[in-house]
Amino acid sequence: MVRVLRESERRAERLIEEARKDAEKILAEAKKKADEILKSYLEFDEKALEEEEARKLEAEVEELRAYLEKKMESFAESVERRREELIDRIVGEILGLR
Amino acid sequence: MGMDAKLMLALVEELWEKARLEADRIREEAREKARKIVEDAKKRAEALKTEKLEELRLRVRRGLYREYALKKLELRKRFTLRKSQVVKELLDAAVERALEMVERSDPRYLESLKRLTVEAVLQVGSDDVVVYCCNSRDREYLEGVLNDLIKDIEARGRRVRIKIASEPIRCRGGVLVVSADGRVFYNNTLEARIKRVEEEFLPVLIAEL
Repeated sequence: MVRVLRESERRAERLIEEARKDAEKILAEAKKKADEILKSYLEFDEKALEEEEARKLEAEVEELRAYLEKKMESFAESVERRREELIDRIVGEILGLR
Repeated sequence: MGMDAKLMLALVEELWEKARLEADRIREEAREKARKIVEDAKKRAEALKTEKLEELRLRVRRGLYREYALKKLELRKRFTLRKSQVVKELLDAAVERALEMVERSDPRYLESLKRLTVEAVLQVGSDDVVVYCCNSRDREYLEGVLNDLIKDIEARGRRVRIKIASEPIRCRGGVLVVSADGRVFYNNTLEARIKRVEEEFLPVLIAEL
Protein backbone atom coordinates (compact mmCIF):
# COMPACT_ATOMS: atom_id res chain seq x y z
CA MET A 1 0.00 0.00 0.00
CA VAL A 2 2.83 2.32 0.89
CA ARG A 3 4.59 1.41 -2.34
CA VAL A 4 1.51 2.25 -4.36
CA LEU A 5 1.22 5.57 -2.57
CA ARG A 6 4.87 6.46 -3.19
CA GLU A 7 4.52 5.54 -6.85
CA SER A 8 1.48 7.81 -7.07
CA GLU A 9 3.45 10.63 -5.40
CA ARG A 10 6.29 10.26 -7.90
CA ARG A 11 3.84 10.38 -10.79
CA ALA A 12 2.18 13.47 -9.32
CA GLU A 13 5.59 15.13 -8.99
CA ARG A 14 6.34 14.26 -12.61
CA LEU A 15 3.03 15.86 -13.62
CA ILE A 16 3.99 19.07 -11.81
CA GLU A 17 7.50 18.92 -13.22
CA GLU A 18 6.06 18.68 -16.73
CA ALA A 19 3.83 21.64 -16.00
CA ARG A 20 6.89 23.64 -14.85
CA LYS A 21 8.75 22.73 -18.02
CA ASP A 22 5.71 23.78 -20.09
CA ALA A 23 5.62 27.06 -18.16
CA GLU A 24 9.28 27.68 -18.92
CA LYS A 25 8.63 26.99 -22.57
CA ILE A 26 5.63 29.33 -22.62
CA LEU A 27 7.70 32.11 -21.03
CA ALA A 28 10.66 31.53 -23.34
CA GLU A 29 8.35 31.76 -26.35
CA ALA A 30 6.79 34.93 -24.99
CA LYS A 31 10.23 36.50 -24.51
CA LYS A 32 11.20 35.53 -28.04
CA LYS A 33 7.97 37.01 -29.37
CA ALA A 34 8.57 40.19 -27.35
CA ASP A 35 12.05 40.54 -28.87
CA GLU A 36 10.63 40.05 -32.33
CA ILE A 37 7.96 42.66 -31.67
CA LEU A 38 10.55 45.16 -30.49
CA LYS A 39 12.74 44.44 -33.48
CA SER A 40 9.93 44.64 -36.01
CA TYR A 41 8.60 47.89 -34.56
CA LEU A 42 11.97 49.55 -34.84
CA GLU A 43 12.46 48.75 -38.47
CA PHE A 44 11.79 51.82 -40.59
CA ASP A 45 11.91 52.43 -44.26
CA GLU A 46 13.96 55.60 -44.13
CA LYS A 47 13.69 56.18 -47.86
CA ALA A 48 9.89 56.02 -47.75
CA LEU A 49 9.84 58.38 -44.80
CA GLU A 50 12.09 60.83 -46.65
CA GLU A 51 9.78 60.68 -49.65
CA GLU A 52 6.76 61.23 -47.44
CA GLU A 53 8.36 64.27 -45.78
CA ALA A 54 9.43 65.65 -49.15
CA ARG A 55 5.84 65.27 -50.35
CA LYS A 56 4.58 67.12 -47.26
CA LEU A 57 7.09 69.95 -47.73
CA GLU A 58 6.27 70.15 -51.42
CA ALA A 59 2.59 70.43 -50.48
CA GLU A 60 3.47 73.26 -48.07
CA VAL A 61 5.29 75.07 -50.87
CA GLU A 62 2.31 74.59 -53.18
CA GLU A 63 -0.01 75.86 -50.47
CA LEU A 64 2.15 78.95 -50.03
CA ARG A 65 2.29 79.46 -53.81
CA ALA A 66 -1.52 79.31 -54.05
CA TYR A 67 -1.91 81.61 -51.03
CA LEU A 68 0.48 84.23 -52.40
CA GLU A 69 -1.08 83.98 -55.85
CA LYS A 70 -4.51 84.65 -54.38
CA LYS A 71 -3.14 87.47 -52.23
CA MET A 72 -1.44 89.01 -55.28
CA GLU A 73 -4.65 88.79 -57.30
CA SER A 74 -6.62 90.46 -54.54
CA PHE A 75 -3.93 93.14 -54.14
CA ALA A 76 -3.84 93.88 -57.88
CA GLU A 77 -7.65 93.97 -58.02
CA SER A 78 -7.80 96.32 -55.06
CA VAL A 79 -5.20 98.63 -56.64
CA GLU A 80 -7.01 98.56 -59.97
CA ARG A 81 -10.37 99.31 -58.36
CA ARG A 82 -8.98 102.23 -56.38
CA ARG A 83 -6.38 103.35 -58.90
CA GLU A 84 -7.58 106.94 -59.31
CA GLU A 85 -8.07 107.48 -55.59
CA LEU A 86 -4.60 106.06 -54.84
CA ILE A 87 -2.90 108.16 -57.50
CA ASP A 88 -4.64 111.26 -56.12
CA ARG A 89 -3.43 110.44 -52.64
CA ILE A 90 0.16 109.94 -53.80
CA VAL A 91 0.01 113.19 -55.82
CA GLY A 92 -1.28 114.91 -52.69
CA GLU A 93 1.63 113.55 -50.69
CA ILE A 94 4.17 114.57 -53.33
CA LEU A 95 2.80 118.09 -53.52
CA GLY A 96 2.26 118.36 -49.79
CA LEU A 97 -1.43 119.04 -50.23
CA ARG A 98 -2.72 116.46 -47.77
CA MET B 1 -12.90 -4.08 -2.35
CA GLY B 2 -11.71 -3.96 1.21
CA MET B 3 -11.65 -0.80 3.33
CA ASP B 4 -7.87 -0.40 2.98
CA ALA B 5 -8.05 -0.56 -0.77
CA LYS B 6 -10.87 2.00 -0.83
CA LEU B 7 -8.89 4.34 1.42
CA MET B 8 -5.82 4.00 -0.71
CA LEU B 9 -7.80 4.71 -3.88
CA ALA B 10 -9.25 7.82 -2.27
CA LEU B 11 -5.79 9.00 -1.22
CA VAL B 12 -4.32 8.40 -4.65
CA GLU B 13 -7.28 10.19 -6.24
CA GLU B 14 -6.79 13.19 -3.93
CA LEU B 15 -3.08 13.25 -4.64
CA TRP B 16 -3.71 13.24 -8.38
CA GLU B 17 -6.37 15.91 -8.15
CA LYS B 18 -4.03 18.19 -6.20
CA ALA B 19 -1.19 17.54 -8.65
CA ARG B 20 -3.47 18.30 -11.65
CA LEU B 21 -4.68 21.51 -10.06
CA GLU B 22 -1.11 22.58 -9.27
CA ALA B 23 0.02 21.77 -12.81
CA ASP B 24 -2.92 23.77 -14.24
CA ARG B 25 -2.10 26.68 -11.94
CA ILE B 26 1.56 26.64 -13.01
CA ARG B 27 0.62 26.62 -16.71
CA GLU B 28 -2.07 29.29 -16.31
CA GLU B 29 0.32 31.51 -14.36
CA ALA B 30 2.92 31.10 -17.11
CA ARG B 31 0.36 31.88 -19.81
CA GLU B 32 -0.68 35.01 -17.89
CA LYS B 33 2.95 36.10 -17.51
CA ALA B 34 3.54 35.44 -21.21
CA ARG B 35 0.54 37.58 -22.17
CA LYS B 36 1.91 40.39 -20.01
CA ILE B 37 5.40 40.07 -21.50
CA VAL B 38 4.00 40.37 -25.03
CA GLU B 39 1.65 43.17 -24.07
CA ASP B 40 4.47 45.13 -22.36
CA ALA B 41 6.70 44.55 -25.36
CA LYS B 42 4.02 45.97 -27.66
CA LYS B 43 3.59 49.03 -25.45
CA ARG B 44 7.34 49.58 -25.18
CA ALA B 45 7.77 49.06 -28.90
CA GLU B 46 4.99 51.52 -29.66
CA ALA B 47 6.59 54.17 -27.45
CA LEU B 48 10.03 53.52 -28.90
CA LYS B 49 8.64 53.58 -32.39
CA THR B 50 6.97 56.96 -31.84
CA GLU B 51 10.18 58.34 -30.36
CA LYS B 52 12.43 56.95 -33.06
CA LEU B 53 10.04 57.92 -35.83
CA GLU B 54 9.94 61.48 -34.53
CA GLU B 55 13.73 61.57 -34.37
CA LEU B 56 13.99 60.22 -37.87
CA ARG B 57 11.34 62.59 -39.19
CA LEU B 58 13.20 65.53 -37.66
CA ARG B 59 16.48 64.38 -39.16
CA VAL B 60 14.88 63.95 -42.57
CA ARG B 61 13.14 67.34 -42.27
CA ARG B 62 16.40 69.01 -41.33
CA GLY B 63 17.98 67.51 -44.40
CA LEU B 64 15.19 68.73 -46.66
CA TYR B 65 14.52 71.99 -44.85
CA ARG B 66 17.10 74.13 -46.64
CA GLU B 67 15.88 73.13 -50.08
CA TYR B 68 12.24 73.88 -49.28
CA ALA B 69 12.98 76.98 -47.22
CA LEU B 70 14.75 78.39 -50.27
CA LYS B 71 11.75 77.57 -52.45
CA LYS B 72 9.45 79.37 -50.01
CA LEU B 73 11.80 82.32 -49.80
CA GLU B 74 11.90 82.53 -53.59
CA LEU B 75 8.08 82.58 -53.71
CA ARG B 76 7.89 85.35 -51.12
CA LYS B 77 10.58 87.32 -52.94
CA ARG B 78 8.69 87.02 -56.22
CA PHE B 79 5.47 88.08 -54.49
CA THR B 80 7.11 91.16 -52.96
CA LEU B 81 8.67 92.02 -56.30
CA ARG B 82 5.35 91.79 -58.16
CA LYS B 83 3.68 93.88 -55.47
CA SER B 84 6.43 96.48 -55.72
CA GLN B 85 5.97 96.60 -59.48
CA VAL B 86 2.26 97.32 -59.09
CA VAL B 87 3.02 100.05 -56.56
CA LYS B 88 5.85 101.44 -58.69
CA GLU B 89 3.41 101.80 -61.60
CA LEU B 90 1.08 103.72 -59.33
CA LEU B 91 3.91 105.96 -58.17
CA ASP B 92 5.06 106.57 -61.76
CA ALA B 93 1.51 107.57 -62.74
CA ALA B 94 1.29 109.89 -59.72
CA VAL B 95 4.66 111.49 -60.46
CA GLU B 96 3.64 112.03 -64.07
CA ARG B 97 0.41 113.68 -62.94
CA ALA B 98 2.19 115.88 -60.40
CA LEU B 99 4.74 116.98 -62.98
CA GLU B 100 1.98 117.81 -65.43
CA MET B 101 0.48 120.08 -62.77
CA VAL B 102 3.87 121.71 -62.30
CA GLU B 103 4.35 122.18 -66.06
CA ARG B 104 1.03 123.91 -66.59
CA SER B 105 1.24 125.90 -63.32
CA ASP B 106 -1.93 124.24 -62.12
CA PRO B 107 -3.53 126.16 -59.21
CA ARG B 108 -2.96 123.05 -57.06
CA TYR B 109 0.76 123.23 -57.76
CA LEU B 110 0.87 126.90 -56.86
CA GLU B 111 -0.90 126.10 -53.60
CA SER B 112 1.58 123.25 -53.14
CA LEU B 113 4.54 125.58 -53.70
CA LYS B 114 3.35 127.83 -50.87
CA ARG B 115 2.77 124.94 -48.52
CA LEU B 116 6.11 123.32 -49.34
CA THR B 117 7.87 126.61 -48.68
CA VAL B 118 6.13 127.16 -45.34
CA GLU B 119 6.83 123.58 -44.28
CA ALA B 120 10.51 123.83 -45.24
CA VAL B 121 10.96 127.17 -43.47
CA LEU B 122 9.41 125.77 -40.29
CA GLN B 123 11.57 122.65 -40.54
CA VAL B 124 14.79 124.65 -40.88
CA GLY B 125 13.87 126.51 -37.70
CA SER B 126 16.08 129.52 -38.39
CA ASP B 127 14.81 133.12 -38.26
CA ASP B 128 16.71 134.04 -41.40
CA VAL B 129 16.36 131.75 -44.41
CA VAL B 130 16.97 131.63 -48.13
CA VAL B 131 14.48 129.90 -50.43
CA TYR B 132 15.82 128.32 -53.60
CA CYS B 133 13.35 127.70 -56.41
CA CYS B 134 13.57 125.41 -59.42
CA ASN B 135 12.87 128.08 -62.03
CA SER B 136 12.17 131.75 -62.48
CA ARG B 137 8.43 131.17 -62.84
CA ASP B 138 8.24 129.62 -59.35
CA ARG B 139 10.52 132.32 -57.97
CA GLU B 140 8.31 135.10 -59.34
CA TYR B 141 5.24 133.41 -57.94
CA LEU B 142 6.78 133.05 -54.47
CA GLU B 143 8.02 136.64 -54.51
CA GLY B 144 4.43 137.63 -55.23
CA VAL B 145 3.05 135.75 -52.25
CA LEU B 146 6.00 136.31 -49.91
CA ASN B 147 4.05 138.49 -47.51
CA ASP B 148 1.30 135.89 -47.30
CA LEU B 149 3.91 133.26 -46.52
CA ILE B 150 5.47 135.34 -43.77
CA LYS B 151 2.02 135.96 -42.26
CA ASP B 152 1.22 132.27 -42.46
CA ILE B 153 4.45 131.43 -40.65
CA GLU B 154 3.85 134.14 -38.06
CA ALA B 155 0.41 132.66 -37.43
CA ARG B 156 2.25 129.50 -36.46
CA GLY B 157 4.26 131.40 -33.87
CA ARG B 158 7.46 132.01 -35.82
CA ARG B 159 8.96 135.32 -37.02
CA VAL B 160 11.27 134.82 -39.93
CA ARG B 161 13.07 136.79 -42.60
CA ILE B 162 12.80 135.14 -45.99
CA LYS B 163 14.95 135.83 -48.99
CA ILE B 164 14.13 134.27 -52.34
CA ALA B 165 17.36 133.34 -54.13
CA SER B 166 17.63 134.70 -57.64
CA GLU B 167 19.55 131.72 -59.01
CA PRO B 168 17.43 128.62 -59.64
CA ILE B 169 18.60 125.18 -58.61
CA ARG B 170 18.29 122.01 -60.69
CA CYS B 171 14.92 120.50 -59.87
CA ARG B 172 11.42 119.92 -61.29
CA GLY B 173 9.39 121.69 -58.60
CA GLY B 174 9.18 122.58 -54.94
CA VAL B 175 11.85 124.44 -53.00
CA LEU B 176 15.06 124.07 -51.07
CA VAL B 177 15.22 126.21 -47.93
CA VAL B 178 18.58 126.95 -46.32
CA SER B 179 19.31 128.92 -43.16
CA ALA B 180 21.11 132.19 -43.95
CA ASP B 181 24.27 130.90 -42.26
CA GLY B 182 24.11 127.84 -44.53
CA ARG B 183 24.17 125.38 -41.63
CA VAL B 184 20.67 123.94 -41.86
CA PHE B 185 18.59 123.09 -44.89
CA TYR B 186 15.37 121.34 -45.74
CA ASN B 187 14.96 119.84 -49.17
CA ASN B 188 11.33 120.14 -50.22
CA THR B 189 11.87 119.80 -53.94
CA LEU B 190 9.60 117.39 -55.75
CA GLU B 191 12.52 114.99 -56.25
CA ALA B 192 13.12 114.84 -52.49
CA ARG B 193 9.41 114.52 -51.79
CA ILE B 194 8.99 111.71 -54.30
CA LYS B 195 11.80 109.85 -52.56
CA ARG B 196 10.19 110.45 -49.16
CA VAL B 197 6.81 109.33 -50.46
CA GLU B 198 8.40 106.18 -51.86
CA GLU B 199 10.16 105.38 -48.61
CA GLU B 200 7.64 106.52 -46.03
CA PHE B 201 4.17 106.90 -47.49
CA LEU B 202 3.95 103.99 -49.92
CA PRO B 203 4.61 101.29 -47.29
CA VAL B 204 1.69 102.72 -45.29
CA LEU B 205 -0.48 102.75 -48.38
CA ILE B 206 0.48 99.17 -49.29
CA ALA B 207 -0.36 97.98 -45.81
CA GLU B 208 -3.80 99.50 -46.23
CA LEU B 209 -4.55 97.52 -49.40
